[in-house]
Amino acid sequence: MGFDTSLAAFNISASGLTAERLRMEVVANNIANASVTRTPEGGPYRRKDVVFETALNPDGPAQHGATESSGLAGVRTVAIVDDMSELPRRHDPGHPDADADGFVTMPNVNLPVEMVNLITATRAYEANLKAAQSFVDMNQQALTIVRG
Amino acid sequence: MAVTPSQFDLLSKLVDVTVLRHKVLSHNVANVNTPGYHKLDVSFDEALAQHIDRHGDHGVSQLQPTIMEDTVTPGRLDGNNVDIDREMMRLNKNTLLNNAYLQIVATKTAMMRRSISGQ
Repeated sequence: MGFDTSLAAFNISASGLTAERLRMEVVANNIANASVTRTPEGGPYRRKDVVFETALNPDGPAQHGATESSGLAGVRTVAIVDDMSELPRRHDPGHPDADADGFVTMPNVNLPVEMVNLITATRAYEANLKAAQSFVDMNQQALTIVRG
Repeated sequence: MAVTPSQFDLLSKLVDVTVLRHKVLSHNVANVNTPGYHKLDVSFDEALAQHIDRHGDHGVSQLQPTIMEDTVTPGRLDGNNVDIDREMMRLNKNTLLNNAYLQIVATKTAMMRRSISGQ
């Protein structure tokens, strides 16, 4: 039993922390770009979303029916994808990016949606942190046996 | 006569199971936002109870816990059925159990140490 397997629970919680932190960064990026009409790809900013998947260690038994857990590796971010939903158009003839009819195509960032995502990401981050903390407590208790 | 105190096999098995369950529960917590994820659980208590009924605590170290996937509990719209509050409470409970088992081991070890040094 090596360093990585005996303390695998830390890696699992750390993967959750990394994933939720990334989600918070993406949400912050969406909010920061809520009125950006020019991007390097051209056109207004499209809101980004992260895609998570369950991470499993290929050389360990993993799921249903297994008697060990070395296959469990937490969560992994697969991709950051663009939200392809329709971009809202706003009437603003004075805007430099307005079309001939005076309409500006705005980013499809919806502030309430972003705030809800931010809160769920924060809560999930805290939960992962708590799980890591519990594991520290368990190991501290195990050390008391050696301490005598 | 065995040198180690009685129930050491049982206690170490129980500690192993709490560590395994901790991994499984943290895996659930890490996947709280993964669409389509089904929560996992460790089943051991029933098997242990049956074993103790039949054979006492002899040979418990051969008993293996099993990881079960819960596909029955209905989930959210994205198909994920992790209930974060439940998982956190189970995590707390598991940590407490682990502490209790380890405390018993520590106490038994301390008793042994005292009897060896004759205090």
